[in-house]
Amino acid sequence: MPSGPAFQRCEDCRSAVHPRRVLCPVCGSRRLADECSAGHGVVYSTTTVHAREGRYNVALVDLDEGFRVMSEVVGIAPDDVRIGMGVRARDDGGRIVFDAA
Amino acid sequence: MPPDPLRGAVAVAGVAESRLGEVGPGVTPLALVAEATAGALDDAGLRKDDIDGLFTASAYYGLPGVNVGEELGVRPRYSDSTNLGGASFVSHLLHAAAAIAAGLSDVALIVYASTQRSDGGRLRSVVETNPHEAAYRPRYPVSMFALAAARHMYEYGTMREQLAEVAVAARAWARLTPEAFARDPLTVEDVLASRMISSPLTVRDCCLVTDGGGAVIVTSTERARSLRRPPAVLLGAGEAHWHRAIAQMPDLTTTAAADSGARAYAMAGLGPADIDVVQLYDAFTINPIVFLEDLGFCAKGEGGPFVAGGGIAPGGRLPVNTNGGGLSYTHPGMLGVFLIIEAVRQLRGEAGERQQPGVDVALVHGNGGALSAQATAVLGTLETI
Repeated sequence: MPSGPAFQRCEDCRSAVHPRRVLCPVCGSRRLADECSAGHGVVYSTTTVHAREGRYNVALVDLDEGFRVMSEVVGIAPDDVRIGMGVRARDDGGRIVFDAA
Repeated sequence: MPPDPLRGAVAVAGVAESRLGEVGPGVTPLALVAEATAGALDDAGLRKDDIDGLFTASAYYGLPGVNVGEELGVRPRYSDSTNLGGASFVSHLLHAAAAIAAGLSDVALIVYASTQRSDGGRLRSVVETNPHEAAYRPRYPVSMFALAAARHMYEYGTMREQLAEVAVAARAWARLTPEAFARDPLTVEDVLASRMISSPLTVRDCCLVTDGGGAVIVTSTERARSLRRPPAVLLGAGEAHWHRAIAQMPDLTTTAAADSGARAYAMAGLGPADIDVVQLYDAFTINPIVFLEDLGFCAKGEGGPFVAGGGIAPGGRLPVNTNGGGLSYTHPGMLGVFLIIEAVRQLRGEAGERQQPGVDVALVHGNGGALSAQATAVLGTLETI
């Protein structure tokens, strides 16, 4: 079962589109087909937010299908999240988070 | 190519700031708009009723043009409330030039004010919540810039200390500027040891939260020649934006300043080597590093070494943010109009102890959103036309 975020694939230029749109932002096509990512990706950038309630990770993850999302890498200390690290998506109560792959 | 018809067509004829810093309770942003406008009109030797073009943006007023028009008793025939965040006011310079050149305005007012420090010290913003970001609780906007800084460090080896050097340079300029908000000594060690907000950025990598307003009067260069002060001529300007949300930014180390800057240089017929002073929107310490690259002052990835060793501090290789910028001078939510004002003061030679010698050409660069909107202007003395 795919566990990654939903996205759209442009049927004309093949671009991956996220978040959902009516027009392909690359070529302008209206032919966007719904797909679901397999959930494999790589950390593009990462920060640890130091909040009153504690520290947590905020990351940008590049999915293998060719789009980028903001998410959180969980299961390891936020400062241990590294750019270039392979990650795997899972559903966490309605929001998608990533574990180190 | 023939010269761009907007090159040199308009000039800044008057500038002023309102009270800056912390004005206390009971003072509205519109009151500071009025203070700054009165000062800029006095500076130019013009009257309120000369203004027929109004350019403003706001984090307080949903229809800022009409709020400001009513407050000032200005009835513009050309009104532009383009909101590109902190890039708005540099963008307004370009839009005002187009309006004046088209005969749609004779005297344009660009004005902005905020009382966000007296209102509680938090960034006041009308920015919407992004449903694709909210569940992950980034601190807007600092986490977005932290992500850009982390990527720049990863790709180019930019060092944490080099980010800190940007804040230290700003403070050194502020120490030459009596009106600056933060003038205590600041070292790289101080920046690194200060409270972490969103790694790698500490609180000293983040701009100030202050009150303040600024106003800029723009008119045709022909008319500006007959006015009170030496005109600061708009030689070129450009704007660009490629994304809104940080996850939509194609490459976190390159901003649309690469386009806005190229457009401004092309209109001006000038390049980075011709610029004497630079005012860059320094909401966070990563910003000047990326903008120095995107605007051609150094190659991509070399912004860190460029600012190292006092490179943009007084006496360095390039004078950047000569009043201390958003990091140390003032930052009432959006900085753009104050960047223009400092560039004009340097061009006029009225910048006091921080005045740079022989300033003929100044570059101003505004940023808005999450490194989203970019606007660049090149201003010069009359001799540069």
